[in-house]
Amino acid sequence: MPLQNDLSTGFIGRLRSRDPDAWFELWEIFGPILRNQLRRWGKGRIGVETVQDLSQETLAALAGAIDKHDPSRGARFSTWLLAIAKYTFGDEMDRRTALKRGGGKKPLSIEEEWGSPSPHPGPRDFYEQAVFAAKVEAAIRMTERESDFVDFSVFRMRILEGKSGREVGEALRVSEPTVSRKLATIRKRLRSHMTHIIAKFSFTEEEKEEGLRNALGTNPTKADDALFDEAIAEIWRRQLDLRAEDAAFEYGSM
Amino acid sequence: MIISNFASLLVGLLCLVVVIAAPIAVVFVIYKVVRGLCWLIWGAVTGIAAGVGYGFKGIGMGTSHIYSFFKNTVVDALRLVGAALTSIFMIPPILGNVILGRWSAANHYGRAFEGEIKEAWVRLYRLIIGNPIRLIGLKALTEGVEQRLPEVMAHAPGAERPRGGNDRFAGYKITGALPRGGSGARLYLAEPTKEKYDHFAKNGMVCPGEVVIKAFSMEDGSTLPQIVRESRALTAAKELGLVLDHTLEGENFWYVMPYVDGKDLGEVTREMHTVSGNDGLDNKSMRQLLQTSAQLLATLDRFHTAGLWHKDIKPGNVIVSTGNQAHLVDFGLVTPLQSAMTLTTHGTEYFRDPEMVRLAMQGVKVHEVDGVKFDLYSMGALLFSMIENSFPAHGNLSQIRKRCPEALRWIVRRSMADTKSRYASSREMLADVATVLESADPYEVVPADLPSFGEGGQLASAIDPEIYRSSTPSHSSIPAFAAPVQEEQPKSKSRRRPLQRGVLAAVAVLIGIFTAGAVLTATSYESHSAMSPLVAQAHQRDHADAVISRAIRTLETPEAERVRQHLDAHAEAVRALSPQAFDYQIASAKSDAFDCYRHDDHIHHSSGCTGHDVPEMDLLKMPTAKRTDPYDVLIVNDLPPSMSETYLAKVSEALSGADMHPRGLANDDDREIEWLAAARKAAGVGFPNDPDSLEQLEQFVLENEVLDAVFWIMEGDDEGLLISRFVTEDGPVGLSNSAVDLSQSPRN
Repeated sequence: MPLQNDLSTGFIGRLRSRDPDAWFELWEIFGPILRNQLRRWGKGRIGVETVQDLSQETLAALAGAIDKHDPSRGARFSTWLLAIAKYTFGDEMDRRTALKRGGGKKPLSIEEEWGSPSPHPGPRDFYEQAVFAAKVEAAIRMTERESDFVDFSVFRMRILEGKSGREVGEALRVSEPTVSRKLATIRKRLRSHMTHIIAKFSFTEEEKEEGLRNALGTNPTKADDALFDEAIAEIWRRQLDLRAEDAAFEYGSM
Repeated sequence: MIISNFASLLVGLLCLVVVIAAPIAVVFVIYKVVRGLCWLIWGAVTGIAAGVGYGFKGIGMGTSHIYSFFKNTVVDALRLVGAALTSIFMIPPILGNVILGRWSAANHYGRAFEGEIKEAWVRLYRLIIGNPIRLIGLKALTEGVEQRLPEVMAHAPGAERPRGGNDRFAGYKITGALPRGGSGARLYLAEPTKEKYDHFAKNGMVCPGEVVIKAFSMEDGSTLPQIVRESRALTAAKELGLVLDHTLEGENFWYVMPYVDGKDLGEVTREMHTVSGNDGLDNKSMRQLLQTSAQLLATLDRFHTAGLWHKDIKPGNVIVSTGNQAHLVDFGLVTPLQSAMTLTTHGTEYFRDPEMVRLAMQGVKVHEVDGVKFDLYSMGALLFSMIENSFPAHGNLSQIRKRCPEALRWIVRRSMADTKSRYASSREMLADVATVLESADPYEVVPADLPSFGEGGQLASAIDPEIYRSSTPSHSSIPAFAAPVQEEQPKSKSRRRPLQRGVLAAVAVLIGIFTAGAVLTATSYESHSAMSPLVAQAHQRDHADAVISRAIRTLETPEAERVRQHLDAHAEAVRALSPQAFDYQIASAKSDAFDCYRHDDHIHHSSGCTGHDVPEMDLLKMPTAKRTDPYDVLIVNDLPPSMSETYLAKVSEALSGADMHPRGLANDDDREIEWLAAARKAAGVGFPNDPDSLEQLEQFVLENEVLDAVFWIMEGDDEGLLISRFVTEDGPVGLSNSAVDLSQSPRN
C-alpha cells in the first residue's frame, strides 16, 4: 500500500500538471460541498446560478492556488479548500456591495457572522463533517465502480437503506449467509478505498486520523464491523440530508 | 410510689424532647419558607431578565426591520431616480439614430431604454407597495407579485407574429406561439396549407392538423453553433418522423415538427405527487409512472435502433398528451451514435451521467463511447425524479426515500449504475419495467423476478445490444428480441415463466405500437441553391461529418494519409487549447478535408460520396505528398502571457504526438526567431481573416527550406475567443475559431 504522503503529494502533482482526471475527481468529490457552503454563506442573497458560478470560480481559483500550495505549512486540506472558496465568495460580495451600497464585507467576517453560540455543531464543525462525509461518499463511489452490481446492491440495501438481512435475501432470492458474505466483500473493499481517499485528501496527520475518530478504522475486529456499518450509515444519512437541502434549493428554482 | 416516680420521669423526658425538638422544627419551617421565597425571587429575577432579554431582542429586531425598510426605501428611491435619468439620457441617441437611419444602433439603445423603464417600474412598485407591506409583516402578500409573476412572464410565449410576417414560413399559417426553449429558437404553432398537405400526401407522409415550427434566425439572436447543432441530426429525425419539413434560407433556419398538446412530465409529476401526498405516489399514479416509463423506453429504442443518441432526456423534454401518452421531444442534442465528432458535455445536470462529462473532458470521440448507456442513465434519473418529485442529487447513489416497489428501485439503480453494470439496451430495461407494470401488484415484484436478473443472485448475461441496434424498427424485430431472452434463461423458475411470457408480449405490443406510429419517410433536402454561403457552409458540415468520418477511415492513399496527418495535428493542437470548442473545430477541419477529397475524382468515388450532397464551394487543393519525415511546424504564439504559460507546452506536445516537430518555441535559436519575424511580416496586418494574408503565409512556407507548416494561435477580439490557423505549403487546413464564427473563415 502506498504511503499516505505519497498519495497526497502525488495527487497535488497531478493537479499541478493540470491532469483533467484529477481535476474532475476533485470537482466530483468536493464540488457539492463547495456549492453547499457557498449557499450557506449566501443565506438567500444569492441564487442557484450564482452558486454554480461561484463554485466554478472557486475551481478556477484552486487552479491558480495549487501551484503555490506548500503542504509543509501544515494547513488541513479542508481549510485550504475553504479558504479559497471564502475569498471567492468574499470577492463576489464585495463586488455586489460595491455596486449597490458602496461598502462590502470582508471575507474574514463571513465566519464571524454565523459563529454565534448554538447547541448545534458550529459552522466550522459542520463544514469539516461535510468534507469528511464527501470523502466517505467518494470511497463508496469507488467501491461501487469496482464491485459486482448485485454485491454492491446488497451493501446498499443492507447498510445505506437499512434493510434487514432477511429482507435483502428475499428481494434477491439468496440466503442470509450469502447476503453476509457479499456484504463482507464490499465492506473490505470499502475500507481499503477509505484509507486511500482519506490519505489522498489529507494534508495533516490529524486529518489522516479522521477515519479512526469516526469509527472507520482500517484494522477491524468482528465487533468493529458493526460499528463500521453503523458509522457509514450515519454519515450517509447526514450526507443525504445535506444533499436533500441542496436539491430543495435548486429544484425550487428549476 | 414507684409508679409516681416513673410518671415524673416520663413527663420530664417529654418536656426535654419538646424543649429540644421545638427549636429544630421552627428552624426547619423557617428554612423552608426562606427557600421558597428565594425560589420565588430567583424565578422573578430570571423571568424579568429573560423578559428584558426578549424585549431587547424584539426591540433589536424591530429596529433592524425598520432600518431595512428605510434603507430599502432610500435605495429604491435612488435607483428609481437613476433609472429615470438614464432613460432620459438614452432618448437623444435613439432619436439621433432613427433620424440617421442607423436602425441597429437605434434598436440597441431602444432595448436599453426598455430595460431602464422596467427597472424604474420595479423600483416604483417597491417604494409604494412592496416596502410598506413588508414593513407591516405581510411579506407573504407580495411573494406572488414579486416571484411567481416574473417567472410566469419570463416563460410566456413570444410574439405570435414572426419577424418578416406570417408569410415567412411558406406553406404554413401561424396560429400561435409557444414559450422559447433554451436553444435560442422561437417556437410557433401553425397549420399547414392545403398545398402543403397535398405535398406531404404525394410523398406518402401523414401530416397532423397542427404543427410546431422551430425557427432560428441570426437576427433574433440565434448563433451558428446552435443552428449547426440542430441541423446535425435532421435527416435522422426526419426518418423517425420527428421532423416533417425544414428550410434553410438566408440566415434563417426552421423546421417543422408534429404538435403534441399536453403537459411536460415535470408538471405531471408534481400533480401526481400533490394528489398522492407526501409519502409517495399512490397505486394509480405508480401505474401511470410505469406506463410512461414503458412508452418512453419504447420510443428510446426507436432512437437507438436508428443509430441515434437523444442525449437530453429530462422531464422538460417529455410531453404527456391526453390519454397519458408520453412523447419524447426536442432533438436539439441528438447525435449519431457512430459520429466521429468529439464528445461534448451538452445535456442537463443531474440527468446527465457524470461519466460522460469525464470522458468529454478527455476529448474522446462519440463513437468511442456507448451513447445508449448514457441515455439509459438519463432514463433512470427521469424515473427517479418521477418517484421522488426531485432530482437525483447523488447521481447513481441517490436514494429513493418515498414509497416505491422494490423492483422499481432496482431498475432505477441498474439504469444509473456504473456503465459496465448498466442495462445494455433500452429493450432490456423495458422488459424489466414491463414486468412490474404487468404484475397484479407491483409491490409484490422483487428484483429477482425481473428478466434481467439471473439465477443465484447474479445478473443475467448481458444481451448483445448490437443485435437490436442493427435491426430495423419494425414488427419483425420483436421476435428477434423475445427469442434470446427466453433462450437466455432456460432454467428460470417455472412460476416465473407465465409472467415473463406476459411481459415479453407486453414489450412486443409496446414496441409495435410505437414502431407503427413512426413515419419512416426520407425526404430530400430543399435545393441548396437558395442558401446563403454562411448557412450553406453550416449545412455542408452536417453532411461532411458523416461522410468524412467514413472516408478518412476507409481511404488508404498517400494523399489521404497526408491530409489526415494535417488534420490530426491541427485538431489535437486546438484541443489542447480549448477542449470545449473542439467539437466545432473538428467539424470545421473535417469539412475542409471533405473539400480536399471531393477535389480528387478518384478519392471522391472511393468514398462513396455523391455530388449533390454538398453544394459547390471554393475548394482547396489537396496537399501533395513530397516527403515522409516528420513535419517541421513553426508555432507563432500570439496568446497573452497568462495563456501561453498554460497552453504552449500542451500545443507542442500535441503536435509532437501527431508526428510534427514544433519550431519557434526556443527563445535562443536565432534561426527560429528569424522565421517568426518573417512569418509575421508575410502574414501582415490582415491575418487571420484576410485570404491574401493566408496566401502570403502559404508562400512563406513554400519558400522556406525547413518548415512545412505554420500553426498560429491568438486570442480573438471577443472574450474567450481563440483563433488558430494551420497553414501548409499547400494552403490552410482546418480553420478554427473557438467561438465558431464561421463568417470569419478566410474562404468566405
